[in-house]
Amino acid sequence: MAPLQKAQIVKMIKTSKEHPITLAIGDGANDVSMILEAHVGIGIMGKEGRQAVRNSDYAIPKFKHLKKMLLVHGHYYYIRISELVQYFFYKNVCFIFPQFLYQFFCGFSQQPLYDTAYLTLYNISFTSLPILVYSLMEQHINMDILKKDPSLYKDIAKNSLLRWPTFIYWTVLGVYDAIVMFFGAYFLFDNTTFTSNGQMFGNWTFGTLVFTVLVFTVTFKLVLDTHYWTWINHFVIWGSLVFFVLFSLLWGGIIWPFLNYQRMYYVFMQMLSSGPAWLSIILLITAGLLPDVVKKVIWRAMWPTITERIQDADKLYKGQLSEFTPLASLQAPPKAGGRRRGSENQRNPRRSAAFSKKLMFTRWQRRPDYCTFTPLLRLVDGHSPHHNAYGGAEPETCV
Amino acid sequence: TTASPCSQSLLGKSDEQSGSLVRHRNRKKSFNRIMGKEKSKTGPLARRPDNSAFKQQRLPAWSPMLTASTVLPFFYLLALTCMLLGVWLLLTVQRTQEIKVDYTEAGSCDVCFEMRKNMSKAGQKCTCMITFSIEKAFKGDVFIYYGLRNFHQNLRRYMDSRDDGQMVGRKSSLKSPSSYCKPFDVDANGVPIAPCGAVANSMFNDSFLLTYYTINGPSIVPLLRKGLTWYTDKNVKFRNPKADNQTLAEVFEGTTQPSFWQKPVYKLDPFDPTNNGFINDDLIVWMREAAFPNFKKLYGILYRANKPYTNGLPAGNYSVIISYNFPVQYFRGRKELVLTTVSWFGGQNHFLPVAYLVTSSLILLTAVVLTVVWWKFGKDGRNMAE
Repeated sequence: MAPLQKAQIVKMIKTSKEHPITLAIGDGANDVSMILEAHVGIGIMGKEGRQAVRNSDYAIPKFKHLKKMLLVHGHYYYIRISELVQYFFYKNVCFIFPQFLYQFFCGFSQQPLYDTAYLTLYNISFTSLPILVYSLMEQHINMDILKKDPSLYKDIAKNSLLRWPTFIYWTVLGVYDAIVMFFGAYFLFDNTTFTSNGQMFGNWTFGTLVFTVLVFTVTFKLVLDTHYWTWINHFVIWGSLVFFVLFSLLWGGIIWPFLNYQRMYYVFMQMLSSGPAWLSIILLITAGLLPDVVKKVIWRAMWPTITERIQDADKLYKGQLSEFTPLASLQAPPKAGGRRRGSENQRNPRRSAAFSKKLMFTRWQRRPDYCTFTPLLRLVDGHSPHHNAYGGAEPETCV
Repeated sequence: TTASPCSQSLLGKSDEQSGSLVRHRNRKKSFNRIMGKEKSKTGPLARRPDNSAFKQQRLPAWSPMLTASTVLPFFYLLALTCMLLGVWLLLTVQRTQEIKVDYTEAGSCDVCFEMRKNMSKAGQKCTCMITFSIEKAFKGDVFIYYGLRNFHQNLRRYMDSRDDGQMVGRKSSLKSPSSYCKPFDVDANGVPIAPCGAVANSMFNDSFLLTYYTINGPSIVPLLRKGLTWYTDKNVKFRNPKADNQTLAEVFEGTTQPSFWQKPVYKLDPFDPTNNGFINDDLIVWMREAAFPNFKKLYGILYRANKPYTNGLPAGNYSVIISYNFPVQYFRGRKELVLTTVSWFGGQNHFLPVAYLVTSSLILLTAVVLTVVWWKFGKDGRNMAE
């Protein structure tokens, strides 16, 4: 085929009704137009020279590498990047919303709640490394299972983890956490003595208390979301918390000669020497994280996604699931499957799907609005263990 | 491309690929061999990444999962702990006692209140008296606070308007206060103010004399007016400028008092040199800005050495003679006097025990719901692989 024709085919698919994300792969000079036209262009370093490679987004030496690239690396990348984006917005909502709430109590005079050192270092030192390591290391499912079962890709199709419902859920969680943190500390401080020697705490102690609860809450949220704990994860997560404590002790422990203000002097230590402060920190962290944990556990028990089922299966088999385990034996007929419940991943009919021995059989209750990769993978695997892929409306255009 | 005979003889080697590439790679290889890095990868797999655990993303890892079976025991334990803690805290708080008396216009203080509306009479003294009674004796240490309502010590410009460098005793800042203190840094004649700033300027200056009516007549309740501040505030953060054989008044020579004060800073407590100047307890207590507009600050602690105060404040009638100086009607504020006992847990604070009890009941509720969910759905097949 001529290059222009190939590009026109890709263009036709791109502008079709579902507006899918397209991927084109080729190895020759006549594939260059198609590679440039598609959303993701992959070039194969082959016998026909380097033209395709030079114009592509990704280059692989052999065609078979496409499988791992798509199913493993692509999947991991998406999981990691979506969590990174959502978490970043969440932790900054948690950070700024208490400051916003404080304005109602300080006469709207823009008095910051936290000290400037905390304001500066929150996003640089205290909460940056854990999510960075998460977004480099996280593996929610074993690589071999991902390669074996392409249907797992459906969990993330059509940008499902970055859709509005998920984003709103994270934002609401952030607002809830901020309200718990701020008002929890507010009612504790409201005109009451906090210490056993009658001395009163001030503004900066209040801000430091809220900030301490904040750092611990957002870090523990990431702890709850991390599925793959390497030593690096342990190191950065616990290390960030330890660094926060050490920094606070250091910052408030010295009368810094170059600073004109000494407002943080000994504030952190005084806060830690008060029993109610400890109790309220523990309580507020627990109250902040509770709804998310409950939601996760209930959703996992009632409406598990394919991902979660595979995770449980993996746990059950204790890692003996490999690329060669027949997955047709893994099935879980849903009980109350009739009533469909909205969840974070809308428009994904797989939750209410009745799994049968045929792995890829799904009952579509809504018009399927995305392409599946099954036909492509039939080519890749060279065998077709999945027959009778769909009952119901076929996707209209499919590569 | 083939190497030309000329370059071939120069190279001493022949290769299918371009001559310069081979020359570079051979040079690098021999360099690496000399340096001990034996990486003799050639051919089509030359640029393959290492087969290390890190680069192939196969680091050993722990994969926990939040399932009902792992979470439920933890929830029950947490609910139990929170419940116990809440009950214990509630019992502790019930034993504390507190009494608040709003004296802005109470008793004979309405006269003073009216007088303080007039700025020209600010220099005149005004005393008034209020009475209150205690039904149940206050057992233990009793703390006396003064409280203000609707006074925003947390306003940004107000909080910025201070010079911590001056108050820590730096001689260089004493006569040249920081520009943050404007317009309270120098007075009308250009003389620097010590201590500068709006925070110090607005220091609370009411004083109280507590009297208890015993059967033998009124007796003044002795109050300790020291030990009100954080140890680090009194001894490190606030220091008088170094006085080498000078009196405090001489040290502060060349500065003047803040415009709202009645006496200069070195006369705050002339009888006690450890409470005079910048290290005056009342000043330090005031300088620690409160977080919210309704706050209280420590004024004194009951001195329990003598009868009848050895066990605390006895029940009965009390009166307070107040030297009423601080005007509050400008910001529609209120003034109050607070007497309270404290436990290890602090003053009368019902929020924390109630919050613990509420949280524990919520956790218990969710644990029960989760148990039901897990029993009905989780155990038999929804999540199991076979």
